[in-house]
Amino acid sequence: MSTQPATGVVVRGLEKVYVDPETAEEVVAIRDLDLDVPKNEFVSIIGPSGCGKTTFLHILAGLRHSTGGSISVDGKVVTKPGADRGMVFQDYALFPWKTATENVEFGLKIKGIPPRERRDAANQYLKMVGLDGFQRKYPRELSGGMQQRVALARALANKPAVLLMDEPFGSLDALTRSNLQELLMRVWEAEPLTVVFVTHAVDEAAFLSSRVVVLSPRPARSERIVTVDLPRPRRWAELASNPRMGELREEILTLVQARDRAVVAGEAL
Amino acid sequence: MTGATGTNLGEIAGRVRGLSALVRAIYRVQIVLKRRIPLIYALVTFLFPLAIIGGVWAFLASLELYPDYLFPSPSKVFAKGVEMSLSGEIFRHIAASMFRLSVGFVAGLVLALPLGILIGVNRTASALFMPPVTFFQAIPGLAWVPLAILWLGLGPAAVIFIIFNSVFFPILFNTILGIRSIPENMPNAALCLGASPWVLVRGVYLPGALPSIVAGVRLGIGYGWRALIGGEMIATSTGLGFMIFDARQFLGTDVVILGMVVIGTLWLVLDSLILRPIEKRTVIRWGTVRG
Repeated sequence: MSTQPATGVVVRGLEKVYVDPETAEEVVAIRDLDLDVPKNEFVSIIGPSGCGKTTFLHILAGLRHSTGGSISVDGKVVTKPGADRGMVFQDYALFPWKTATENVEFGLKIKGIPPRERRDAANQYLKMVGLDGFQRKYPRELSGGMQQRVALARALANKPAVLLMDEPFGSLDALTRSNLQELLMRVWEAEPLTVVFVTHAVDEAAFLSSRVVVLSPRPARSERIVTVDLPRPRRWAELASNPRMGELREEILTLVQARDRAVVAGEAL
Repeated sequence: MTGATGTNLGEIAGRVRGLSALVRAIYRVQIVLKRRIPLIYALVTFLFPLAIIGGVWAFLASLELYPDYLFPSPSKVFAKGVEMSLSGEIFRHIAASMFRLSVGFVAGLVLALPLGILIGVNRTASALFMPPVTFFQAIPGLAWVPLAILWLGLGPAAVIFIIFNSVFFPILFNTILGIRSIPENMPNAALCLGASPWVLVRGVYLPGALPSIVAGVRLGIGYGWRALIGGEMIATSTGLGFMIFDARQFLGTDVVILGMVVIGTLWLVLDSLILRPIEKRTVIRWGTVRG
């Protein structure tokens, strides 16, 4: 699967060095990071907080520059942000002056899709995320979970080559979070697309992904890849009691904690 | 003793309770009136405090503590107003003032908006422009009067320059503030949806900063309005400022007060019928989620 570097996300020798504004010292956030996300695969990136996973995702999106290495998406080299890499943020980042429909239409309007088709597409995607009937609501009239559904619809409607998700369910309550995780699975299973999902929640990574990439502490590099061999469709009701789920959770957790301990040990020296 | 105190307290409590029932009754009438005749209700509650001021004024004038030509009565000022309206003189002054205000305001807006967006978005531009902008902000519009007259001559151009100066800074600073209060991920989201720099400015920065910009516009016009009257007193031979200042030569206190009433009324109309509703609408529509 990973022997087809022309499609999906290909990261080679990525490096990010920045200057700490307080100490004026150079900090290596990412070093020698290689990653392959084959087309239509769901990959989670997990690692201790502050390990550079969000930085990595921002570089993937083109919102920040790398200082070395290369990234390509479906064979196209990434240099700046573009509609081929959709992104869902932890804080939803909806436009508060636009209704749910208008938010979803934002990217379609930029693409020059005529108003009628835009509206139809927006309706279709809002329906897909379970928001039929909320088309004319403004973000402030929607709960956090509903806002994130709008943000998901907005990113999907643009039909990106890869969907980047930056701890998208991190600020939701547990019940809403598991609902949205299942929703994301239903959407993805119905219409697979390449997803890079950043999280620090082990359960979430195991539940959603085909593979979980464990990043090392700073400087980040992909330390270990865990293949998640759980059956699909994935639903919490079935997986919660699946013994394999427990094993995978344990495995990933051990890896993440080992990295964490390495940091603590390193600091102690 | 205790019995008597008890009765007294009971009486007071009874009276207070009666009062609160009255307050509630008035409140209920208020709610009903507000719903049934909203326009008349708004007008009456708006004019009532002003009517009190007018009444006090009329009362003080009737005491004749000062001679009539120093402290004219409302009726005298009203008569003067009718006279100057019929001759059309007052409308010439109003038109001259409003024209200068509009030109100065538009010039200020057109320059402050792009500069504000640039400073708000770009760190280098901010470092470059903020010190001089802060420096010039401290200089009141009227301090420019001598130079404005020397450079642009006595006339409307000098006044427009002074208004521009007063309008420019509040709009600039509010635009910068508005841009900076947009959460970082909002423009990021737009970029990931394929937004070009122009779409980013028009589709995210401008609407995102709009509530703050509208507040700046309201503030700017308020400052500009004051600078206008001040500037006209010195630099022109038309306009409400000139009208007021010119009238003092002939002890025309009725014209002076008429001018003040017109200035206050025009601002009241401008602010409460145009500026405030726009501000309120944007703030409500943008909601509490904008921070």
